[in-house]
Amino acid sequence: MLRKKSLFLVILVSLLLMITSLYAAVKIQFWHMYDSGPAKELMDSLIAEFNEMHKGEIEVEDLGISFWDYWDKLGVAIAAGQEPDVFQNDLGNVGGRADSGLLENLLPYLKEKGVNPDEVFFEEPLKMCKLGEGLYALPFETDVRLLFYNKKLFKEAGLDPNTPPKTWDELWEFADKITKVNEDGSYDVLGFNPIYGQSYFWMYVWGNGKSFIDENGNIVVNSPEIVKLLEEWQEMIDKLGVEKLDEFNATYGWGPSDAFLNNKLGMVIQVGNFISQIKTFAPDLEYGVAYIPYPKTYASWSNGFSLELSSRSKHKKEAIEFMLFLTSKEPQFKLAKTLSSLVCNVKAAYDPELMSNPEWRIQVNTLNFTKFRPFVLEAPKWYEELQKAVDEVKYGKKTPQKALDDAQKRILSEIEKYRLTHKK
Amino acid sequence: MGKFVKKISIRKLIVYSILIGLSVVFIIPLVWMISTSLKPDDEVMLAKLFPSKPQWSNYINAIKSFPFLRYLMNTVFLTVVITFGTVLTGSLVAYSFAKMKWKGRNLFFYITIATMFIPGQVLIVPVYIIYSKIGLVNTYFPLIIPAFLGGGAFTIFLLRQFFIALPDELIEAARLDGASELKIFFKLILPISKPALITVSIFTILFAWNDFFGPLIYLHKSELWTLSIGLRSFQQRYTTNWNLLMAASTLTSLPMIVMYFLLQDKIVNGFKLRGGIF
Amino acid sequence: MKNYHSKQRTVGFLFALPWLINLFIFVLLPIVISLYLSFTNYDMFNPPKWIGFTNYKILFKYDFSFWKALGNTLYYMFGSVFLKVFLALVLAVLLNNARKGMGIFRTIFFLPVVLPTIPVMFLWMMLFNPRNGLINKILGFFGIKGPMWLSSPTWSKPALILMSLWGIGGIIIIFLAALQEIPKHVYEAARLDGANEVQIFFKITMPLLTPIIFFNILTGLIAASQVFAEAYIMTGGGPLESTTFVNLKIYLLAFKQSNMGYASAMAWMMFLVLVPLSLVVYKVFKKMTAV
Repeated sequence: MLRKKSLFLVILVSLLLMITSLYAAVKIQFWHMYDSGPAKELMDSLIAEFNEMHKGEIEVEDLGISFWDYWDKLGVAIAAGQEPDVFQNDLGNVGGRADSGLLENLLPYLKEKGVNPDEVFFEEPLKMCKLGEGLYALPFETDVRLLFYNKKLFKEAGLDPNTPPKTWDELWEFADKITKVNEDGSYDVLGFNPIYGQSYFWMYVWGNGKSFIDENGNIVVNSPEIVKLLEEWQEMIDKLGVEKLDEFNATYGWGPSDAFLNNKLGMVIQVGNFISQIKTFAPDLEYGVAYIPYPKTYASWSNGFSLELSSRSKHKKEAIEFMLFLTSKEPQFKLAKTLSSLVCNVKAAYDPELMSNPEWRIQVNTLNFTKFRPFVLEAPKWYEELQKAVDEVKYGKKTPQKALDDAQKRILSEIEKYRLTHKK
Repeated sequence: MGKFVKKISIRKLIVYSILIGLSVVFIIPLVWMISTSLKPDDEVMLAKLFPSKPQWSNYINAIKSFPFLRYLMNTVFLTVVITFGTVLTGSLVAYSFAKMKWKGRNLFFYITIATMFIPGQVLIVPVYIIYSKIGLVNTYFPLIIPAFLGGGAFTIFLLRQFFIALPDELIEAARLDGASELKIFFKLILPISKPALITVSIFTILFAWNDFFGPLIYLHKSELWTLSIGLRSFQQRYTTNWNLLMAASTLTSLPMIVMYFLLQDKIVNGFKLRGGIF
Repeated sequence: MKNYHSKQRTVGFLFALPWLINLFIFVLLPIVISLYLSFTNYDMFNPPKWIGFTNYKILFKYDFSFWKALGNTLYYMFGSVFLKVFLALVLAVLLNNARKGMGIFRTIFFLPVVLPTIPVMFLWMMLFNPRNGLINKILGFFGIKGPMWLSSPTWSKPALILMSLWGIGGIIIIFLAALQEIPKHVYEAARLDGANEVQIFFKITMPLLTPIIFFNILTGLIAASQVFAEAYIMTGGGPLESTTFVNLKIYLLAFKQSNMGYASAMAWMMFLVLVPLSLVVYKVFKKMTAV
C-alpha cells in the first residue's frame, strides 16, 4: 500500500514539474559592464522593469563584470560555447565578430517587428553594426570628444572666458597666452597639450578633411597628405618640447590627479563623460565646453558599446525583445539622465529635458559629424600601428615619412597574414 | 678581551642598521597603502604621507560598496577547501616521487617540471573547454578539483625536495616491521614533516585567497564571487576610487598578515632542505 | 622480497595517481591541444582550421615585434632574477645574524608577498610618478633628478625590475632555512682563524648554499619568463613597446584579437627558447655542485 502511494506521489510531482517547466518563463542570460555604483543600480532597475513587464514569459538574468576583465571572461566563455544570449561589446569591431559567425543577423527579426533601425539610431554608430547587407548589433552607448576649457585660466591670461577658440590656429594663440613655465623649464601650467587626454593624430587628420581610406576602400596611412600632417603634428609637439610634455603627462594621471581638474591645463580634448569626473573630483571648477577647434573642418571621434546576440542562443526572439527594450526611448533616456551616457537612440537623445542642458546639446550635435575609426577586417588593429608610428616620430626615432611607410608595411603584412591563415 | 667585545658590537651595528634601513624601504609601500586608504578624495594623489583628517569612514564605505561579507565567506570556504586538498594529496604524491620506487617515476617527475615552462595563457582556454565539456563551469569545481589531484607542479616539486632529505633508514625500518605504506605515510612521515606541510599550507592559503583569474572566468553568478573580484569593482572605466580600493585591500590583506605573523617560525623550519636538490 | 617490491611499486603508483590524473587531463591534454592549435587558425568560435606551419612561418618572417618582445622578456628575466637572488641571499645572511627582532624583520620583508597584486601595482605606479612620486622625491633629496620611469622607453624595464625586488620575501625565507642548517661552529672556526665577514660570506656561506641558490635561480627564471601582469596593468606594454613581453603578446593575441592559433604558436616558440636555456643553466649548476 505504502509503495503504491509513494509511486503515485512521484508520478504526480514529476507531472507537475513537467507542466510548470512548460509554462515557466524563458531565461535569457545577459552580460554587461555595469558592475558597481549607480550604473549597476540603474541596470538592475531596468532589468527588473523588463522582467515585470514580461512576467511568466521572459526572465533576464544578468551579470555585471568589470570593464577591465570583461573580454577575458567573455572570450573564454565564447571559446567553450558558454557565452550568454545577449552581451555588451565594443562598437568599434563588430565587423570581425559578425564575419566569424558569432553574431546573429538582427534584420529579419527587426523587419518582422516593423522596426527600422535607421530611424531609431544615429547614423555613425549604426554603421559600425552593419556588415554587408546585415545588421549584427544594436548600438547602445557611444561618446564624442569635445574641447574643455578652463575659464579661470582664461581670465588670468586676459582671454574672454566665454569665447573658446574656434579654429586650430586660435587654439594655439590662446594656449600660448595661458602657458606658464617653471624656473627649471618644466611646465607649471600648459595652455594646450596635443598629447594629453583624448587628443590623437587621427582627429587632426579628419579635422583637415583627410581620410585613411583611399578611393578603392583600402587602408592607407602613408599618403603624402597624411605624411605632411604628421610633420605638422610633430612640429606642434616639438615647439612645446617632447621631454617636458612627457614629464607633464607622467605627473598627472586620471581621476583626481588629472591636470585639467587641477587647473594646470588650460584646454583639453576629452570624452563627453569627462563632465561626470569634473562633478566628482572638481565640482568648483569653472569650465566650458566647445566643439574641437578645426584646421579645416569640424571633426571628432567616437567609440561605443553595442548589444549583441549570440548566433548560438536558444531563445533569439525573446533575447531580441530584451535588446529592443534596452535600446528603446525610455530606458535610453534613463541611461542618459542618470549616467550622462551618450545614448544611440535618436528620440531619447533629443528629449527636450536633456537638450535643455547645453553640455548635452553640444554632444548630440557633435554626433552628427563625428567619425569612428574605420573597421578593417583583415587588420583590425591598424590604428595601433598608426599610433606606433606617431610615437616613433614623437621620440625622434624616425622621420614622419619613414614611420608611416613602416606602419603601412606592417598593416599590409597584417592583411597578408590574415589572407594566409584564412584561405577559404 | 675588550677588543673582541668591540668587534661583535660593530658587526651587529652594521647588520642592524642595514636591516633597519632596508625595512623602511620595504615597508613604505604598505604604509602608503594604509595612508591612502585613510585619505579624503582630494588628497589621494598628493605626496603627503599623513592625511590631514583620517577618514575611517572609507573603510565602512569600502565594505558597503560590494557584497563584502558574502565574498569573504566564499573566499574563506574556497581557501580552506583548496588548502586541505593540496596539502593532503600533494604530500601523498610528493612522497611517492621521493621515497617510493615505481615504474616511470623519474620520467613523470621530469615531465612535471617541464610543464612549468609553458606560458600559462595558452592553456587557459583548453582547460576551460575541458571543464565545460564535463559541465562544471559556473561552479567551484574547476577551482577545487586541482587541489585534490596533487595541487600543482610547484607544490609537488617543493614537497618532494623535503621528503627526499628524510632519512631512508627510518622508512626502511618501518617497512621491515611490516607496516603498510599508507600507515608509514600517515603515522611516520606526516608528523615529522609538519614544518614543510605548514609551509605549503601558507603558500597555498596565500594563492587561494588572492586568486583572481580562476574565479573570474569560471564563476558566472556574482553570488559565488570572491574578495579579489570584489576589489576590482573600485576600478571603473575612467576612474579608480583609490582610497576605498586601498581600504578594501588592507582589509583583505589583514587575515593573511596575521596568519603569516603567527606561523612564520614554522615556515623557516619547513624549508630545511638537507642534501642536494637534484 | 619480490612480492615486497612489487607491492611498493603498486602502492607508489597509487599514491601518485591523483597527480597523474591531473597531469594527463588538465595539464598534458591542454598542452597537446595548444600544440595542435598552433598549427591552426582558431578564432575561438569556429572550429580550428588546419594551416600547417603557417603560424610559425609568420613568426619567423613577418613578426619583428615577437623578437623584440622576446628580447624584452630575456632582459627582464636575467635583469631581475640574479639581482633578486643575490639581494635575498644578502638579506638572509643579515637576518641570520640578527637574532633579536628577527620575527619583525622577517614579517616586514615577507609582507609584500601577502598583499593583493592589483592594488599593489597601482601603488607602485604612484611611487614611480616622475614629479610627485616618492622615489623621485627621495632621489631629489640626494640631488639626483629621477628619470621618467614607467613613461620612459629606457627606464620602464628597470622600473619593473626594481618593483620585483620588493617581492623577494619568499626567496629570503628559503635561504634563511638553508642558512640555519649550517652549524654555528663552522663560522666560529673560520672567525677564530681570522677570516672577516666578507671572506666568510664568499668562501663558506655561498659554496654551501650553491644548490639552493641555483634552485632559486631556476624557479625564478621560469617565473620571470612569464612576466605579464605588471606590463598589462601598469604600462600596457609601452612606452614604445619597451615593456611588451612575450606573455603579454600571447594574452593580447588570444583574448583581445581572438587569434588563438597564432598565440599558441608563439607560446611554443617561447617554450623552444626556454628549454635549451634552462638546460644550459642546469649544466652550469651541475658543474658547480660537483665541486
